[in-house]
Amino acid sequence: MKGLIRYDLLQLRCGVKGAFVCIYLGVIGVLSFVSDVGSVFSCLFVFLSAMFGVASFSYEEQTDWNRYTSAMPLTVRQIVLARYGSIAVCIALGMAAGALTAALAFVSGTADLAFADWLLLFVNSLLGAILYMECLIPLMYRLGAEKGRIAMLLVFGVLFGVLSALANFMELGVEAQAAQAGLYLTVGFAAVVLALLPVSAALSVRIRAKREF
Amino acid sequence: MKALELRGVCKTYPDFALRDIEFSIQLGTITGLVGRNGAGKTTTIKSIVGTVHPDAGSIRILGREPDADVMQDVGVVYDECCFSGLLTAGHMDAVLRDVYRGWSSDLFFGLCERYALPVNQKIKTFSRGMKQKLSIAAALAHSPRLLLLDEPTGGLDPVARGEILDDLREFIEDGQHAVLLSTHITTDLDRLADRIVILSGGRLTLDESKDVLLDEYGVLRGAPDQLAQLDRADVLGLRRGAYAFEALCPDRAAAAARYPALTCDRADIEQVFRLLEGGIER
Repeated sequence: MKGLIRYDLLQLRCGVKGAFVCIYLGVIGVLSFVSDVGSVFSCLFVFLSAMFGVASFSYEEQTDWNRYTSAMPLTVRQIVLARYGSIAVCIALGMAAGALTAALAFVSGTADLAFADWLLLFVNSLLGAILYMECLIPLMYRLGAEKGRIAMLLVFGVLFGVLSALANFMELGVEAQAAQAGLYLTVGFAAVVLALLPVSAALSVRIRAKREF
Repeated sequence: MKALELRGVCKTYPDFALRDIEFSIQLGTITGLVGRNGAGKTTTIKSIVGTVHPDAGSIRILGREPDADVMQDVGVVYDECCFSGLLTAGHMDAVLRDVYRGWSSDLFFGLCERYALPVNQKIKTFSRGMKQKLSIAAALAHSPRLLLLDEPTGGLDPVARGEILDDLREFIEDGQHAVLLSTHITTDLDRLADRIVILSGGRLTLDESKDVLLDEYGVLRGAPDQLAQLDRADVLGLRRGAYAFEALCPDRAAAAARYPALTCDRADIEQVFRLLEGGIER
């Protein structure tokens, strides 16, 4: 299973121009210092990293790697969990990039959210990214990378919309009771996301087991 | 213990069906799987490794039902390299050593060196032949007991093909390994195979020892007007041309005695394959 995670991550790393990523992160870093976008981008990084991880499905279909893995000494469960693992690593890297961006914003004093509000939004972004992964992986196994791209955009649109609404809600400088409501919503959201994880994995295993290559 | 056993394997698609495929492979042998394009060779190999799910029948690998554990002892080479072009052979070593218990990086890099494959160059820069050699190196590097190869030498130059065939021969020499080789290059099988399995239209039409095929089978040749004297029960396949016919018979000596007016020659694997397909030459 480690081998498959390594394969996905190596592929994603080799598929991205390192210079481009450095320039992009550099620009965001500078913007975080001089404007108020840092706190928003910090949450966006987490979400985008999940989308980035889902690109592994496209790569594997291009080269029939999924056909090769079917003949490996691995169970379907291991193959599927490896995919969850590689996307989870992408999300973790997104979190690190996001936290760094937010740190720059807070240090420079340009953050437009209080730290507690930012933290709540950041946690919700993480939960949104995990939910995105939970929805997309079974869909990608079911539809394939070609048709799955449409589902990817739709799910991203819905989740991003919800997170943006939450960010706007936080930026309004809400009352203590509303802030507490946000906290309860986050806890509820976390419970739903965690409960969905085994359901998503089981569904993915079932779909993947029936596929032929 | 047999290396591989297929019993009544069937797989149906909308426009093709694999029907009652039944053959076995002994350890210490190389079996050639021959057939026209679309005969079912790749479907058969995919059914063995679990890439497709047969509708009926049973498959046993090294005496056991195929599962993740058994697949540790199976190496597979497809007709196209399945590794990402963005990675290098070095990356593939790092990936596959975590998958196969018996993986040997020394063996893998040794094979890469033998096949003149650069280890730190992206696979997308490799030629088709180099990609195939990489696939073969990866299949051999975890010391499998059963090797399944689907058109592995397509795109290889004669020298590279010779190297691969030598490696396959060496692979089975100790009598503890087996190879199933699907190929169109019947001259390779003339050299290498112990047994020949021929598929046609999703069905198994021949499963015979290569020595028997080459020593006992024969090709009867004659003019079209001599065709009438041929008893169809004596032949397995027939090709008719404008000026001659060729008929495959399973017992050359008996056929030569029965049809003294016809020429009866030894058959090679390609002739057996062509004649079993039958047909009329223009």
